[in-house]
Amino acid sequence: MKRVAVLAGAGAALLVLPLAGLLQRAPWSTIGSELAAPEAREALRLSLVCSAGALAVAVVLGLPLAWVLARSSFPGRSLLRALVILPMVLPPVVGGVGLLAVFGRRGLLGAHLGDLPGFPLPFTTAGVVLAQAFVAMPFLVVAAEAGLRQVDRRYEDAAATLGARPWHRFRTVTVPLIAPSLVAGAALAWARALGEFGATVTFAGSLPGRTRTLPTAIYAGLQSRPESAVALSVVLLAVSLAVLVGLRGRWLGT
Amino acid sequence: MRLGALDLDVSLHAGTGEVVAVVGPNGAGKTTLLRALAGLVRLDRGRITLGDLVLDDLAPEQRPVAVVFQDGLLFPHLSALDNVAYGLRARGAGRAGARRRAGEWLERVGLDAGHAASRPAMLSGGQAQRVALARALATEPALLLLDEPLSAVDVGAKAQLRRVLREQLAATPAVRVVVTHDPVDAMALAERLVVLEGGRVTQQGPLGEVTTRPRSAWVAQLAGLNLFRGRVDAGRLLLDGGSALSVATEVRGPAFALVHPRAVTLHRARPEGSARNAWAGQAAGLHLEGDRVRVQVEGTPPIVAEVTPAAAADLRLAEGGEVWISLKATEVDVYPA
Amino acid sequence: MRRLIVALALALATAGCGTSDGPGVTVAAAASLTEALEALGGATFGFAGSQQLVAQVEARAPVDVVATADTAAMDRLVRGGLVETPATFARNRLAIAVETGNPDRIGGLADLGRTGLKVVLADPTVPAGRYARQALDWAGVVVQPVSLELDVKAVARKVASGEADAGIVYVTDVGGASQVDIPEAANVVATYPVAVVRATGNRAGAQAWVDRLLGPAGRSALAAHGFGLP
Repeated sequence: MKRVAVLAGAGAALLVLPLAGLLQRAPWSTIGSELAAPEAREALRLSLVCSAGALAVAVVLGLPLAWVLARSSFPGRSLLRALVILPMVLPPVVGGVGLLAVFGRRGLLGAHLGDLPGFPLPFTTAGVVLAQAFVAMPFLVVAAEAGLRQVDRRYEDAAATLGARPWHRFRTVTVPLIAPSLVAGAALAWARALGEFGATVTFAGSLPGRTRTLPTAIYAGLQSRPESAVALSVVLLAVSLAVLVGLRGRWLGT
Repeated sequence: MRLGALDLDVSLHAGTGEVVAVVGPNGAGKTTLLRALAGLVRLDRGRITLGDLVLDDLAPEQRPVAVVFQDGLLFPHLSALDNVAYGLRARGAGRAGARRRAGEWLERVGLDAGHAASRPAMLSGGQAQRVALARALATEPALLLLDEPLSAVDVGAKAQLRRVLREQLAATPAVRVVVTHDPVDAMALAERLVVLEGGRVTQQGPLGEVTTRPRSAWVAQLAGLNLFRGRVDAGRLLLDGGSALSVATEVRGPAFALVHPRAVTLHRARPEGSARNAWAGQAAGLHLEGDRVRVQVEGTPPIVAEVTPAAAADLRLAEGGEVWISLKATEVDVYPA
Repeated sequence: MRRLIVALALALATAGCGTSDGPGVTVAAAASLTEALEALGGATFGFAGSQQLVAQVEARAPVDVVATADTAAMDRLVRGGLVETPATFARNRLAIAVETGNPDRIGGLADLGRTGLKVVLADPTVPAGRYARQALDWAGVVVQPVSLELDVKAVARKVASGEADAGIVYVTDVGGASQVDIPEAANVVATYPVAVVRATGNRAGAQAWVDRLLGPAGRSALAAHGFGLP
C-alpha cells in the first residue's frame, strides 16, 4: 500500500507541479497590464470567438453524426466510428497537414472551392474554426453517442404516440434526456478547441487579429515577451481548470 | 380493427360500446399487438382501420391513438403537469392553454393538485399511472390503448387505480383496448375478452361467456377449471389424449368438457358407487388454497381435484402416491367445440 | 522566470534532436543552420530559434557551443559573461521564395506589395522576420502578410506547398520553392556568430569543434548549403 501511495504521489506531482510552477512564476503584479495589451486582448478575443464557432460546428455536425452512429446499423459503422475518433489521438500538426491536403489552395476540395467568397480557408479566421472543429468535434460525438445509446427509447415511443413528430421528439425528449452527456462533451470539445495549436498554426497560420489564437500567441511570446506568454498561459490554465472542475468527473457522459 | 402482423395472426374487432381486454399468457404477443396498433411496430401484412381512417401506413404521431404504458413512461425531466400537457403542446397548443387543460385532466383522474408540479420520480406508482392516464386522455384519442396498466402498481394502490381506470374508461368516447395478463384486471375493466395465445386468438366474446365456456387451456386455468377436448360419441366423450369420459349430453361431435375441481372425488382404492367415471392416477401436486386443497392428479386423463384438508389427510395424500378419481357423468359440462 | 519556462519547454523539445556521440560536444544552433551543421557533423545538435538559444545558455542547459542567427542574441550572452569571444562563421542573405516557376512573375521586393498576393513572412520576434521587415522598409514596400510564421522554415514550406504566393526567407531556406534574388543593396545580411559556452564541461572538445567549423570542413559545408562566408 505504501508503494502505491508513493507512486501515486509521484504521478500527481508530475502532473501538478509544472502547473504550480507556472503559477508561481506568473507576473502577478503586472498580469493586468499584460492581459490588457492589444496583442493579448486580440488573441483572447480571437480564441473565444473561434472556439465558440468550433463548438457550434461540432454540435451542428456532431450531433447528427452521433445519432447515426448510435441508432443506425450499416456495414462499416465501426470503421466510421474509429475514423471519427482518430483526430483525438492524431498529432495535431498531422491534422493540420491533412486539412491542407483537402482545403489548401491546391487541396482536393480547396482547389475547386477557391473562387467562393471566404475561400480558400488557410490564413483565414474561418480556417481557424475549421482546424479547431476538426480536433474538438470527436469529443462531442463520443459523448453524445454514449448518451444516445443509453437513453431509453421507449420515452421516444411515448412521445410519438402523443403526437410529437420526429424533430419535436428529438428536441423535447431526447435532448433533455441526454443533456448531461451533451454538456460534458461540449465542455470538453470547447476546452480542446481553445487549446488547439498544432493544426491551427499549420493550417491557418499565425497573424495577430486574424489567426493568432491564444496558444499561438503564447508560443510567439515565448520568443520575445515571456511575461505576456506566461500571463496568457495562466488564462488558458484557469479556463481549462474551470471547465474540468465544472464537469466534476463526468468525463465522457457516462 | 383488423390486423395481421409479424408472427401474430390476429383479427380483432373493437367498437366504442365496450372495453375490450386482450388477455393471454406472457409471450403470447399481446404487447406486440398493442405496439402495432400504436404504430410502433410495422405490419407485415394486414390492415388497421379506425372508422373510416386507415392506420397502417401512418406513423405513430399521425395516428389518433394514445397509449397508457405499463411503467407509465412519464418523461422524467418534466413535471406531472407538463407531462400531461405534452401531447397538446406537440400538436401545437400554446403553453398556458395546454397547462390549463392538463390541470383539468389531472383533477379528473384524482391527482392531488399539490403533485401537479412534481417530477415523476417523486410520485408513487399509483400516482404516476394516473398521470400517464391523464396524459393519454388529454390528447382526446379515437383509440385508447392500455398496456398492463396495473402491473407496475403495488397491491395497496391497485384497487383505487382500478376504480379510476373504470371511471375514465367509461367516460371516454374512444375505442378502448386493454392488454393484461391479470384476470382480475381484465374482469374489472372490460366487457369483452379476446384471448391471445401463441400469436393466435383462441377465444373471444363477452366476459361471462368466455370464463364460463372456456375454449382453451389457458382460460380454463385462469378460471380454475378442468377443460377436456374431444368427440362425443354414444354417451362418451372420446378425449384427444386417448381416454374417454362418460357424459350425459345432447351434444354430438367435437366438444369441450368442463369439470369443476370440486366435482371430482378422490379415493384410496377403486371406488364403488354410481359415478360412471373412475380411473387411477398419481397425486402430482398439492396446494393449499384458502380452506381447500387443490390436488393435481396425473393419469389418463390428468385432472385437478379440490378437497378439504381433512379429506386430504384421511386419504393420506402425498405427492407421488396412488389415488383413484371418480367423477359423475352429470358433473361434466359439455358444449360444442 | 523565462529561463525556467523556456528551458522546460526546450529541454523536452530538443531532447531527441541529433545523435549522441558519448562524451562529445553539444551544440545549440539556430534553426536555419540545421542542414549545414548536420552535414558537418561531429557534435550533438539542438536547433531552435535564437531567443531560445539564449535562454538555454542562460538557464545553464548542458550545451558546449552556441551558434546564433544574429549578433544581438550573441551580444546578450557576451554581456552576461556566459560565452567566450564569439567568431563570425557564416553569413546569410534574404531572398524571396516564390512558387515553382514563378507563375506570378515576381521580380523583386516591390512586387510583394501587389494587392491580392498572398505573402507570408516570419514573425518579427524571429531574426529572419526582423530582417525581412527591415528590407521591406528600406525598399519602401508596404506588405500585408497573411501570416507571420513563428519559424522561418514554415514560411518556406507554405510557399513551396502553394498555400502562399511568396515569402521572404534566408537563401538557405528556400528549399523546394523557386527563388527571386534580392539585390545586395536592398538586402539585409545576417551575421552568424559562434562561441564556446563558458560553463562547458568539455572545453577542449568544444574549441576543437569551433575550429573545425571555422576551418575548411566547416566552410565547405556551409557554402554547400548556401551560406555566405566571412
